[in-house]
Amino acid sequence: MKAKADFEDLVEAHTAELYAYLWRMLGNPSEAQDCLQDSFLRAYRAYGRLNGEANTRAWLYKIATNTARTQLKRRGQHAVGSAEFLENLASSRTAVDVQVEQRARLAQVHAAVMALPYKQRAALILRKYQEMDYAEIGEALNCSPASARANVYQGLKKLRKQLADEVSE
Amino acid sequence: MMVKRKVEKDPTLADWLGDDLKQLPPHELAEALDVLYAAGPDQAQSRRARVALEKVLKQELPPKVHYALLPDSDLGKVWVAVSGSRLVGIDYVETEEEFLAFLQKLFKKGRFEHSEEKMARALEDLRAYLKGERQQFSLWVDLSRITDFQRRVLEETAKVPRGQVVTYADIARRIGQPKAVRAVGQALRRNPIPIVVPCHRVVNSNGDLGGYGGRMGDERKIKLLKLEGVVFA
Repeated sequence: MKAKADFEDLVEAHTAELYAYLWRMLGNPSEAQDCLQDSFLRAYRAYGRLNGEANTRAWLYKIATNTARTQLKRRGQHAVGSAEFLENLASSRTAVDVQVEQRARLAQVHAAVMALPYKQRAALILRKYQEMDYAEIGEALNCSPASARANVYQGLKKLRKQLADEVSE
Repeated sequence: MMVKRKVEKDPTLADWLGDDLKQLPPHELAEALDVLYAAGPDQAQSRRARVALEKVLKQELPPKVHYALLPDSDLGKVWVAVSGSRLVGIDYVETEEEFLAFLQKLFKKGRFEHSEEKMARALEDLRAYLKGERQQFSLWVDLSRITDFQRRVLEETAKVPRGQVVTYADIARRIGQPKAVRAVGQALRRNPIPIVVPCHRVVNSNGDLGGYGGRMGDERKIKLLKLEGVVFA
């Protein structure tokens, strides 16, 4: 059996990606920062019981996913609006120039993403933006790899349908 | 008549997800998602989050303590412990269990890990010091886990230059409690970081060696002083 890594080494290795994940899931930098802290504190308390062979990355994502869900329930799904997210996106980034005319459409897409069932949204973000494979996503979301894949698929389908409907309205 | 539904396929979008899903977002949706999510938080946000996290973990988690053994010094076995890049403990005990007991007493709560690798620098410092190859330690000491009185005694002791000795009474006087000679002796006996905090430079007023920790204590004290050119007959 390999020796378990120092908890500090886990923190060092995964802080950046977990923060990015929470930022994407919550759409709010300071909430993401709070959830990052909660996640690692929860992880620390459970780390002693974690099997030495476990995929620690997927395990950390699972904790972060649950922490973010709790946070969303606390604030009510839509308290942070898409406008705020876009504002943040535009002000914090020089690389992506968000055009004014683009904003309305982006706000629609963001709202549609936020309206997805939590698991579908998490699966999509994990697959596309956190670069996880379906086995890892399955571990993080407590489901089979096939179900993880189905969640991505259903999420995209729903987004596509909803946005098509909005355009045709 | 059965009409087979035509499945939409767009190879560039399959690339987008790195996947072979048949139903994929149209370009516009894929692009919008990328604008929203691809870059992620900016560097300033990430840095703030990391700094805040480190602060919280430092407050909430029991300190991590690494330790290791210098097995065959001139003083015998010397165990060393480091926490947060600072020396926290040195002891001459025989077994790892005894050293862990020492650390537990010092830290109450702590996460102790035996690691030659993480202790490489401290061990090398100590080895070189005891061989007379270096006169300073590169690591700072952490004396935050002892009483105020003890800390004052040890801080005063740390000012005694290499190659000199002072008496217990001298230290008592220097900390402004000239009558506390015995208490000074006690504090020095409980010095958690001997060698580095040079309690071996403190001797009896009558010219005796005074005490030194552990079995073979006197012998160690004589050796440490000899290393600095102080000879006790």
